[in-house]
Amino acid sequence: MAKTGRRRRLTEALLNPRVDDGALESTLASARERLPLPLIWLIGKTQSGKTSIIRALTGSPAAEIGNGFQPCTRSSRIYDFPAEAPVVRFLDTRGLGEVDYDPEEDIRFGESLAHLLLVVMKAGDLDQEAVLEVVRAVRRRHPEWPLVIAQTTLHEGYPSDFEHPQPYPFGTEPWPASLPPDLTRALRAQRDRAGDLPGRAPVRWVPVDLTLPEDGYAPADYGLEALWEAIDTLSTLPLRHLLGRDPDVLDLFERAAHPHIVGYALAAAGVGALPVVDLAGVPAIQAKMLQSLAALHAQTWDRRTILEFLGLLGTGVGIAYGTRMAGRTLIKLVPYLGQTLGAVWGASASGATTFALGKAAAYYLRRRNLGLSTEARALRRVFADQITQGARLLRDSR
Amino acid sequence: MNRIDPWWLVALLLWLVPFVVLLPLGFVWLHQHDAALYWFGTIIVFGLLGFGLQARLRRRERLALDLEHSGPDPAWPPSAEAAWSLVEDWAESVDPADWPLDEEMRLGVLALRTLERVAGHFHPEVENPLLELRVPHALMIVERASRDLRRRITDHVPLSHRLTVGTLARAYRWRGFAERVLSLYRAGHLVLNPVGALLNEALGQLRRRGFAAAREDLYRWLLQEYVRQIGRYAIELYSGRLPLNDAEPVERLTQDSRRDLERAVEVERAPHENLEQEPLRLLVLGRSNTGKSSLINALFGHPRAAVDILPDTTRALTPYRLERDGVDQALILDSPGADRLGYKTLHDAANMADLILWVSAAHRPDRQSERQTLQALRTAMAARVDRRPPPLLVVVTHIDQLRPLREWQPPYDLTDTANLKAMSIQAAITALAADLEVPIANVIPVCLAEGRVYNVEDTLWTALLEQMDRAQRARLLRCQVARRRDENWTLLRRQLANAGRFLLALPGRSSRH
Repeated sequence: MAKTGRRRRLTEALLNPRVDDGALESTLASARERLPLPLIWLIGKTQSGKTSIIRALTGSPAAEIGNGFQPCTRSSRIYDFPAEAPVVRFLDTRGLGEVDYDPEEDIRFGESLAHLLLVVMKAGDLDQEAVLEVVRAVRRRHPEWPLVIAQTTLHEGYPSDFEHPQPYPFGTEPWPASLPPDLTRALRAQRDRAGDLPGRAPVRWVPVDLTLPEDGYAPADYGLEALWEAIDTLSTLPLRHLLGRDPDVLDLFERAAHPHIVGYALAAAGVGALPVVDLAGVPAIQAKMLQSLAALHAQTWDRRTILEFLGLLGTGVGIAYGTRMAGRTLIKLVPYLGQTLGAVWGASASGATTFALGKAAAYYLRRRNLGLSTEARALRRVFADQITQGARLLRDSR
Repeated sequence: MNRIDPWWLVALLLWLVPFVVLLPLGFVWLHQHDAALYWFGTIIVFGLLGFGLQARLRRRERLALDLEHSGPDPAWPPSAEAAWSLVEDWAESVDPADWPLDEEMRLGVLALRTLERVAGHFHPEVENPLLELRVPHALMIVERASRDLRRRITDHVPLSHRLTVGTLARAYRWRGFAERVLSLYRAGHLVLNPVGALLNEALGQLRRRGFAAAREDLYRWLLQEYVRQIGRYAIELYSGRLPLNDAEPVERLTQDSRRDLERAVEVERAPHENLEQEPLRLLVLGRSNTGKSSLINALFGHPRAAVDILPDTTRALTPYRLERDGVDQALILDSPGADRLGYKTLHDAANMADLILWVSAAHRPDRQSERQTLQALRTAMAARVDRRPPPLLVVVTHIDQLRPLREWQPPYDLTDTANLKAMSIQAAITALAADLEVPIANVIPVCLAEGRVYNVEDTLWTALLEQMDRAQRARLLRCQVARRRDENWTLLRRQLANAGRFLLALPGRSSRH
């Protein structure tokens, strides 16, 4: 009896395009507590390019980032990416440079959360004492936090009609002589002025120029690769992979979909690991994920689409879990998914399955976008591959 | 009264009787011809017309007088304005009846009262503020107030070149006697011609009131003007603005400017040229690396100050001599970043400035520290009641770095909503005006980048010239303060020297006797 009731709830959850936002939100919140998200603490003056850094790292438009910020302390705000099921959070200290700004409150807030300090300085603005003050205070308290200092808006030091030097010259010392001398002097002066920063975790300085495509500098994300490289070297988090910014992922849709899938997978893992498992929580998260993915691909996620997708996937799920699914109706499959994941596989299993389900859905939606039909075999393969990928990702991100 | 012989009066009356009799006779005649009522009516109509005309003339007279009040000096420091309103109140309350001209000492008392008021305002802590007056200064007040009063009377009072003080005084001195004679005459009149006497009396009252009022108005104006002139110089004196030397304070170099000019000559290795007049002092302030030195170079049109992308290129206040048509001799002072300058240095520099050019970068929106520096400067300047704060112009640099980044095709019309760059510039200066709390008209966007200098020759210079009046006024006050300081020292030195000579001579003198 309980089984049929649960089944109905689940069917509804997947087939009904509307998910109860309140219930989902509380589920996600409890999951988040279970599985704290990595936090990148951005320190820099107003308009020094913090939003540009987030935009470049996450690949979402500047306007979306601007709207996505939520106040958290008196002088800071936080940006969850992606908003509904975050993979990573960015803490932005707004009041920086104000005389009465006290970083204590922010330090306390970010204390248990921050994994990376990302300092943003305009290359031409050498008046950075206020920023460095905060960095020193934070590093004194947390010498283990890695620190990346991005020197932004390089173009302000260019002579007119100068283009970004290619290949990126700041990776190796000494820098080539062809660089504008004013720029290199400013960059060096900024580093000299910072002096020896406290803390034992290494510090990396990365000159970048993150402009908008319409600004006319090519590439718009100049130096982003070096920034990723620095973050990857310093941080133990597979941040780049969590955000779907691996260089081998070229498809734009896949890039956009990836952090969403990871976010929901993390949430599902969090829910799955809760001591008293409400198994309905996981399918609700999965349903919400499928909806967001469809929205990302600009497709309608109606009953017909769901049935088609689940139909194609059907046996794939069976293979993955080594259970016989043949002969079962599609709808029967779904509650099975929800139950088994929670009961048998626990946290990482529901996370990994959610991840694989999202990846498969993304694959399916991408094919549809291209006007191609999806073969059931291919879809199942994607699902099977991604189960392992997801499990590894969840293990790594702990 | 007792000086008039009653028999003389009787003789006079006897002469008058036949003529006086004509009045009742005429009245009888009017009565017989039933025309008495018309006659009464005519009297009333003419009386009213005459009164109306008188009232109008009087008002015109008064208006002409009212227009010519002395006012406060626009160059006065704010502290003097309160004192001036005291003087105004006092002048308004002066009643000519209390200050008759025939008592010679009364006008002196009026002047003294005025002085007391002003002195009390400036020295509330002293029991007898008048004693704060220095003797040469007191003499000078009298001299100057009289000179000014003379000018005002000749310029503004009709027929004043024929008016003597005696006329006014006599009018008052004989008034009592004339009134007594008149009342006697009126009494006699009433007996002989009751109706005519009554009417005459009524008309006379009206007429006299009108005349007396006009004369009184003139006298009141004179008294008030006297009070105002005295008050004006008393304010000049007690606020310490009045130098013992008659020359304009700007005509001589202050010590600070002399020193800065020497430094300017040193910095520029220019031929030494003596400046007689105090130059206008333009101070360039702003955070480090916003382009203060670049602005100076752009104002000169050729490089004079060292410019670099690294901050602190300018280490100390550096004066330059600026000469240009339409501008007085000027010293323009370059400064290190305002955040690097000590509080005291910054305030001293601002105190010595006649105009402040605040340089702010359009692409550095973290203006919190800038706003605080500026606010502290404003508070300090507002606290100095003896000076007017110098005008402030905000120069917005680096506008070429605004979006769209790679575009630079001046000129830009900031009202053009189709041009993205113009819109960014407009948005930047609006934000800056709000951040720094300055009127947007005083915010001037310029570009100072090499080869891209824009808006300096035209807009910035025009704005500078528009502020020249205020800058000159600020200079006047600054010079007066500096001159007073110098004067005190020179006088003290001279007096001490004289006293020393006297003491030196003393033993010789005593041994001789």
